[in-house]
Amino acid sequence: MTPQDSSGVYDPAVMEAARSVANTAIQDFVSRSDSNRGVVVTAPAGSGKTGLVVNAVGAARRQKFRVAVGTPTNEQAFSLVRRIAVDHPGETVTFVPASDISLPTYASQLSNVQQVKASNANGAGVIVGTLSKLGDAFSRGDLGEVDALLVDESFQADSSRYYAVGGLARLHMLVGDSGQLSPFSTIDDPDHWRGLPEDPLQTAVGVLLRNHPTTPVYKLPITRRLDSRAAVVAQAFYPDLRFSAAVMPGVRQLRLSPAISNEPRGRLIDRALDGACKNGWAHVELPTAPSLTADPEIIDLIAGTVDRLAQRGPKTRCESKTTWSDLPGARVAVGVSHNDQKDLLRSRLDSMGHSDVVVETANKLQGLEFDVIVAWHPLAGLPEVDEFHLEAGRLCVLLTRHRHACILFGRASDRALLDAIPPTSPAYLGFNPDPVYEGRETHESVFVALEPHRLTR
Amino acid sequence: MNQLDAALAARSFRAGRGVRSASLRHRRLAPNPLALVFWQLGGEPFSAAAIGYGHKRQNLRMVVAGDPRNRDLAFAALLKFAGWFNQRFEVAAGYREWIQEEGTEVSSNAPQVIVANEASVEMIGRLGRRLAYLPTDGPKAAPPELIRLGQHFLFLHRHSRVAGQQLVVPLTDFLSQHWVTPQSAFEQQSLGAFNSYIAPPAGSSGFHAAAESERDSLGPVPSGDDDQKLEPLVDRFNLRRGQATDAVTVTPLLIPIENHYRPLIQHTWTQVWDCRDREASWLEAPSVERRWQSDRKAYTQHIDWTAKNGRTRTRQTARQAAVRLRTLEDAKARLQAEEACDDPVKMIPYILQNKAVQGRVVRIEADRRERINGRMLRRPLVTLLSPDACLVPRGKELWWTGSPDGRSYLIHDVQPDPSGGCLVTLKLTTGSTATPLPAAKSQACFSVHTTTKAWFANLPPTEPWSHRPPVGEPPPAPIEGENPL
Amino acid sequence: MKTTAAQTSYEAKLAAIRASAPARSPTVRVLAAYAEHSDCNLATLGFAAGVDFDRLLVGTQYEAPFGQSPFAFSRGVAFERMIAKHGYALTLELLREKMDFAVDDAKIINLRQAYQKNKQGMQMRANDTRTLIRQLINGSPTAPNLIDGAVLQASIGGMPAFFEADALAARFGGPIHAGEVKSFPVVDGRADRDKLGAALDQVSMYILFAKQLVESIGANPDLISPVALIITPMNVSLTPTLSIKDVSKRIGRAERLLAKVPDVRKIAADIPPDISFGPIATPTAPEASRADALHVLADRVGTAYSPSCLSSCGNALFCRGRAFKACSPSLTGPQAIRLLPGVRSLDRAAELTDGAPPSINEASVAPLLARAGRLYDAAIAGASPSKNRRAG
Repeated sequence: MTPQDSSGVYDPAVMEAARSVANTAIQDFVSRSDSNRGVVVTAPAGSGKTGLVVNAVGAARRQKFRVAVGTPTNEQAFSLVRRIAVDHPGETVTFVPASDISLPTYASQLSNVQQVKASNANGAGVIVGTLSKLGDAFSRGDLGEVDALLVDESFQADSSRYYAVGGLARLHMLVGDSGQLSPFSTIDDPDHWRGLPEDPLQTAVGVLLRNHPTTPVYKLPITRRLDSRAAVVAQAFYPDLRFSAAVMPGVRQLRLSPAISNEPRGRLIDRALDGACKNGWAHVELPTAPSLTADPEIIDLIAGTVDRLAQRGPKTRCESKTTWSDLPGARVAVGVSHNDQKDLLRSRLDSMGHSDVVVETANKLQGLEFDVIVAWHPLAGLPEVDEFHLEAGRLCVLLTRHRHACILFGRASDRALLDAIPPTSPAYLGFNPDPVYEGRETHESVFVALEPHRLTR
Repeated sequence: MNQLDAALAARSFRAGRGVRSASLRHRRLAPNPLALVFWQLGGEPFSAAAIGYGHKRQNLRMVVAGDPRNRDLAFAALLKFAGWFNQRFEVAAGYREWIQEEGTEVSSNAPQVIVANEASVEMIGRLGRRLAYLPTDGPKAAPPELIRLGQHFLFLHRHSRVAGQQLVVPLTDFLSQHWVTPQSAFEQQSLGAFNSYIAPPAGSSGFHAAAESERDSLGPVPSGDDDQKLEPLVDRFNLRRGQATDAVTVTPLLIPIENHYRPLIQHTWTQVWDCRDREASWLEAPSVERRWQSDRKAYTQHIDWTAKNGRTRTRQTARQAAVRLRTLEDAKARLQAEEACDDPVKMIPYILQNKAVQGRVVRIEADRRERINGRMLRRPLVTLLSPDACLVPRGKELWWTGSPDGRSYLIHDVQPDPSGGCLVTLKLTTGSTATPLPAAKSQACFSVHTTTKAWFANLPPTEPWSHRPPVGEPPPAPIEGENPL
Repeated sequence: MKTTAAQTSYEAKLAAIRASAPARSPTVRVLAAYAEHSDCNLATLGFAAGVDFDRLLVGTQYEAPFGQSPFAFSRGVAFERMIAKHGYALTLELLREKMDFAVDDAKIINLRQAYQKNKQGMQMRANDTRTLIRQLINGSPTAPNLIDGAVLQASIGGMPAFFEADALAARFGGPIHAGEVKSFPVVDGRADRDKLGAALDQVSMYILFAKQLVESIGANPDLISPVALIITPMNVSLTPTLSIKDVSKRIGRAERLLAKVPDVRKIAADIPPDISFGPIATPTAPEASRADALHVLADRVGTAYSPSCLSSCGNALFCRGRAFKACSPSLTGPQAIRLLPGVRSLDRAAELTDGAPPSINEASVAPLLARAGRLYDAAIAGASPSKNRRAG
């Protein structure tokens, strides 16, 4: 989707500001001659980071650099292969897969894409792979050094994955979204190394800046996915990065057929849907009640909302689809925090005929985009808070997936949880973030930002 | 805490005693373990004021330092302990056997240290840290026995983080893997309280028996009251010895302090052995052997490294930490998979979380074929009748617990059954006739757990520039610094 | 501070509530403990009335096991002596090395030695601290660079209280830092995470009080730095090392905590006149009557037991006994409460695991408990005890 600046649907000042930062960052990346240096670009959700990576690849190739592009997951790698190949038809894009992985057809069918073993990739101009695969190939000696390394999703990549590929090039560009979920591990005490320079779970950006504090950090002040109504709320997740929506207000439109419900539950759902259409947001707040994580009442309302949305014939219009078109189920997602919430909703929606609607936890929704999202608040029904649920990244992912509307479900007690004095939290030398307190503040800001859109029974 | 834990906690409350959360014993309990009891001085984390030790319940040995804040006295006591410990810790390394899948020789046996609680493991770590880096020459040179003790202790502390390891067993942790009581994790750190709830004396309820047992600290940190009794004894000891620290002068003066610690050590000692003996009578789970072999390998590597006078760094490099992370993750994943496949009680939480399905095998289509990439390939189907609804999504990859390191199955179809449960059909992902299938009419369980060793990407041997600070880190400060007394 | 008639009356009221029970004034430790129990009415009442719960039940079976080891005490004393040795030589060296103190930034004032350890002494120290801070802010060349034993005055829920900060440090022309001296060691760049967190929370309180002080003399509170100093032994010895942490977020938490502390005047006004901790504390009374009195009080005001009380409140054993008698899920902890919504007792939960028919409130969790119970019984039956246990 290439933005057309002159059409009047984009804010030229925002576009120009973003273009300027991106160009400066890319110039910085390709023009310095001294080695062992990096450039960091942070950007909010939906900023078009991948587009920036693709442009950086182009700029590096113009300097005759050999370039490797690494990313945490296979899906991200596939998507990059395709984007680079489409935007640079004159370049051959070489994908180096892990042993049982193969490019899906949407990428492999392009004529300038090839899949080869690592040892056959030496000499290629553009190499793409997961950080694990590239790192493994490099350490075995199959893959030799290149001139420049780009790492996408570098706030999701942990230090140990970055370690594996760091030696591939003297020039690094790390691109990422600081608002989303940080690297984590399921071992019993993942905080064992916290604060120490050798911590394998710090982010790739964290370890680079810690060891090279003069590394320039460029902040991309734009979101293309979120419109201004959504950006206002999402700003809470990026206290150090001010940004604006690229798309002009009013361009994104969601329309539903009128609703006449004659019972309270239906009316509540309809009010939520109408609010979401009009304002881009609806926050449905149920009364406080003791509940399981897989709260049956919320499951019922979320499933009911998805069903009602479909019943009311949703249509959208936006900067790329200027005429009204039907909203397909695959562009709708339900976002939750826990697997049991996901399992029950999946089963319920399947039984209602909505198998194409995506149901996933925040972890799995990172990086994905939808038109409408129905989200289950991470704090819903908790008797007290803890670091896991307060982690802002989880809420950030849930509230920044959507191009048109987000409907959030929770209970009145969620906000009350934040009024309690946060539990005393442990501290680590050399580690400055206070995830519990900062998470609490972010959650509070989001509640405040959503106040105009709050609905109760 | 999961749903099963909550259910069992409720039942435990009602019964007034502990309820098993495992039908087997998932850690080896060696026949003659090195049982250790530690007492420190309050507020002095690196002090070993008294150590109780032995490898048989009847044979409790004891050593006290007198005033462990004095380096000479502290080291004299630790040296006496090291004389007993080192030899017993190292002897197993003398007998090796070849292990095919490791491609190396591994000690046939390994020592096992048992302690009351996790705080004792931390104590081992602190003592290890203190002793392993002592100077080997110069005016303050430490005896090599002591340094070796420190190295063994550091190894044990490091190894304790590996999930499922059995070289150093804190019994409170052991109990929490096998028993549920209504006590919180904090309360369960008192071995006495935990033991009492599990097996209260006749006529008493678990709650009251535990509350009684809780009053006595089992170490290493003493109660304020105990230290208040100790303080005048230490003062008098110091007065009478003057500046002397030699054994001839000091040994007779230690007697009042020994008398102070003897009942304390004995009390912990009894709790440790009662617990160990009771738990050892449970049948050992099959996968314990695989983990014990892994422990033996780690032990062998440690002994060989220290024998070469190898020292370990006080801090890890980024590479070491990254490798360590993967080792720990792998150990935990394998432990969880093995325990669930060994023990139907341990599998229950996964069933409740839709990560496993179990039922009676009602149909097997062993020779069913399907077209894959243009060829007709054999892909057997197995159908279970599960008593409950099945929420595991179609296409989910599961492994049969009867062959957890074998090929996987995919959920092929789920249909409701008139009995109220559902019929779950799974498709084997291979056509090989060598792959075993569950027997018809048997109870079978399929779960996300596979016990095959995961593949790990290699890490390059040299540190990339991105992970290297521009100015090198200063060398670690000497552990001892200025002598406080 | 001049006392008004209203003040005397609520002070008298609170004293009557406290009666003969052991007293304690709010230190940062007491405040931190209160933060863990701010939802418990009994804890709130005790806090407002200045009752020392750690000593309230001495002589009963519920006595709190919080006694301090004399060795811990003497270690603390020895460490403080080490820091102050030779005119605070080691401390100043640390400040020079890590906080850019100049060689001339070496003026020390020790307020601990200057006065008696009583209320008047604290007041004098507070006055001196105020004066010295003023000097620092005005850039006076005679202002100290290190104040040992600064005392800050603050109002906690309407009650005036004195708080003793171990150290206030400032290089000439620089911001003022608050610091704490602790005896737990930093080893290989690592400190006990819970002890460090608690220490930083304490310093954050002092920073907050210092900011209030600066504001009250009409200056900019940002002159008090959000960077906290923690002085601890390094490794095995008592050689001090300095750890530095920005605690801006913890200061925010401290502010919320203080805002949440109830106004004692309101408590004094609302509490019925016959409420008193006296009968509970009386050492000569039989244990049963003391416990009964506390039961009556707890029934009237309400409690909120959770296992975390065991490490921070002297009444925990008593409240745990109550939770046990009530078969309350709180006995096991908040995670159990989360997993048993609508189930009023552990006995009831056990019945539900046996498949007992649920009430409306229990409807969501009953099927899960019943299923767990069924699966468990089947698994245990399949692996019967006689099969699993060897003889002996």
